[in-house]
Amino acid sequence: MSDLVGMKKLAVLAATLGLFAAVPSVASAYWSHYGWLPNGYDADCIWYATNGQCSGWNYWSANQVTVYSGGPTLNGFENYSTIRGRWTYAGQYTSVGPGDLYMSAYVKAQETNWGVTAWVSVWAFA
Amino acid sequence: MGLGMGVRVRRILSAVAVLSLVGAAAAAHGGSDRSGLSTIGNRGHGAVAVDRTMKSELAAAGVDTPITVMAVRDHKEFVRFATEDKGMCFGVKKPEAARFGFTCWNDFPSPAHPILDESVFGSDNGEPIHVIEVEGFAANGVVAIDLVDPAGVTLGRVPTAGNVYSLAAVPPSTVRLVAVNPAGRAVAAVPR
Repeated sequence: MSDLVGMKKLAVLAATLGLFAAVPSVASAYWSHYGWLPNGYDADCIWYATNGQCSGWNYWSANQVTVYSGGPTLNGFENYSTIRGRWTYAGQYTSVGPGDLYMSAYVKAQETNWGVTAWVSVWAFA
Repeated sequence: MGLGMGVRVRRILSAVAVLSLVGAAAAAHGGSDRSGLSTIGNRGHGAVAVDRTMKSELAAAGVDTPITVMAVRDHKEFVRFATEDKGMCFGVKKPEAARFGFTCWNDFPSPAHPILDESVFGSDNGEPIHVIEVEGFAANGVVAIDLVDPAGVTLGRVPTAGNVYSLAAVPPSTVRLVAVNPAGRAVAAVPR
C-alpha cells in the first residue's frame, strides 16, 4: 500500500517536472498589438503618439514584431528621455531587448512607423 | 542590284553585331552591379551557448539548428541560425548579455535585400532619429556601408568583412546607411 502511495507521489512529481520542462519559461506580463501601424493616437506613447503603439511601463525582456506589409517600423523601447529601436521591414521577424539598444531595463515597448502604413503583429514580454 | 543587296545585308549584319555587343556590355555591367547579392560565404562555426530563457525564446521562434558564430567585432558575436518557417536568422550577442536580439528574413540575402541591418537607431529628448550604433550582415556583393547625413553627404565608410559590419563610434549626424557594391554603387539603404 505504501509502495502504491510512493509511486503516486513519484508520478505527480514526474508530471510536474515534465510540465516545467515543456514550458520552460512563462512570461509574467505581456503587451501586444495586431493590426495597422500607425493606428490612431496612443496615449501610452511618450514620443510619437500618432505614429506608434506603446506598452505600459515594465521590465520588458524583449519586443518582437512581424511586419507583414508596409513599413519599415522602428521596433524597440522608450522612456521619458529616449526612444530607440531597429528598423524592421516587411517580411522580417525581429526580436530586440532593452540591452541590445543600450537602454535601462524599466521602459515602455514601442513600435513606431513614419513610412508606408504597416500591418504588424507586435508582442512584448517581461 | 545584287551588289546593293549585299551592301544592305552587310549593314544589317553590322548593326545587329553592334547592338549585340551593346546588349552584352549592358548585361555584364548590370550583372556586376547585382552579382553576389544573393549569397553569403560565411556559414559560421562552433556553437553559441545560450541560457534557458533565451533557449525558450528561440524555441518559440522555431529555431531548429545550432547557433554558429560568423565573426566577433567590438567584442560582440555576430551569429546565424535557421528556423522552421522564418528563414535564416541573424543576431548580435553582447558578451555580458544573457539574451540577444535577432532578425529572421526569408528574403535575405537577395538582390532586393542584400543587407540585414541590426543597427541601433534612436534619439534623445526629441532630436531627429539618427544612427547610434552600426551593425549588421551583408551579402558577398556588398563591400561597405556608407554613413550618410540628412543632406545626403557621406560622412564615413564601414567596410564589410566576413559578411558582417560593425562600428561603435558613429558620427552623430548619421541618419542613413547605404550599402555599396565593389563598383561603389548603392545597392540598398536603411532606412530606404
